[in-house]
Amino acid sequence: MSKTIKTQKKDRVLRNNNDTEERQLINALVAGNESAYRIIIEKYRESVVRLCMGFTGSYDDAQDLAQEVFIEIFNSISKFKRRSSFSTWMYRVAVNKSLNFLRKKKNLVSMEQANETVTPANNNTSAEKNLEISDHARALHTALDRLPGKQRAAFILSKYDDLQYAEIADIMKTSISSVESLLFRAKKNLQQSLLEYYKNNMK
Amino acid sequence: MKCSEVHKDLIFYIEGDLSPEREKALRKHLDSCSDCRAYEKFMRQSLGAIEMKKDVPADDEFAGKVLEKMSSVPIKTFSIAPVLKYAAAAAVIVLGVFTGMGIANLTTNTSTDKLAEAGEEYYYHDEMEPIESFFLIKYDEDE
Repeated sequence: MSKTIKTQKKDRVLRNNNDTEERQLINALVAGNESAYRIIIEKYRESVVRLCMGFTGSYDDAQDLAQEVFIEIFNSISKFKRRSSFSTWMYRVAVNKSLNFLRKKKNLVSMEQANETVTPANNNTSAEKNLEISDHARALHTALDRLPGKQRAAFILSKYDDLQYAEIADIMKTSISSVESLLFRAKKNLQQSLLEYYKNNMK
Repeated sequence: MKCSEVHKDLIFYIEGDLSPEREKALRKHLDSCSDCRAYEKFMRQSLGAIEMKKDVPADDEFAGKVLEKMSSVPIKTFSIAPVLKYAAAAAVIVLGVFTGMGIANLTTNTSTDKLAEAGEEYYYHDEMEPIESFFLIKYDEDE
């Protein structure tokens, strides 16, 4: 019993130390300290790039978008009022920046399509029954592209960044049950799109 | 179980979201239907692409690129700046007339460029948001 209490105390001390460290780091960010920028990038680069991969589908685009996310974080740090953890706020910025990226891309694609003549689809590829790894990635990304923004964000936070439902709910400013519902609908829609892709390309 | 039911529930089967009874029924169908097994393989490999994309390679230059971009991006000015330029010029002229300043004195001492700078500075200190940010979903915690 006393061992449990000791462990709890140790955890609390550790958490307090982490809180103090994070507070100092945020203060340094607000002050424009370059070392603080580098520490934050070092700590969160992989998480942000992973999230951006889910939204962009390509590593190069994800790299560029992740850089934009960090610039936005550093430029907007004064808006962070410390009511949530830094990482929650950071993910919120990243999701918004990514959704904005998709909106711009969608507008650009529709403008390009309006200027192009339609070419017939190449059905020879469907004769090739074995899909390569990149084809599976394309199938997945095509399906993800068709998801509404909130479903896509919840799915990516859950599957690419392995976040818990409670964390996703905090980031998206919604309830855990709403996150569950978003994920259920996301999976259902993904399944529908993947089935269509499969029928068109494999059967 | 029919193939159409597998098409409806396969992703939940792969994700382990089904009840034990439903899972058992689906597995039984898969054992006996090669078409659905092929579809299951495709679905598993497509969802498996997520795991491959999660592997983010190291990038020693990433931080440097961010900092470089930050230093090269100028502070955002606003699209209403040209309007402001003329508004500021007009305001100073009117002010000049009412305070008894001579028109000649005004043109020699204050160029329109300087007035434009003064206008932008005013907006900068007023901390107005750039116009495009109104189209973004807010992540400001103050909302």
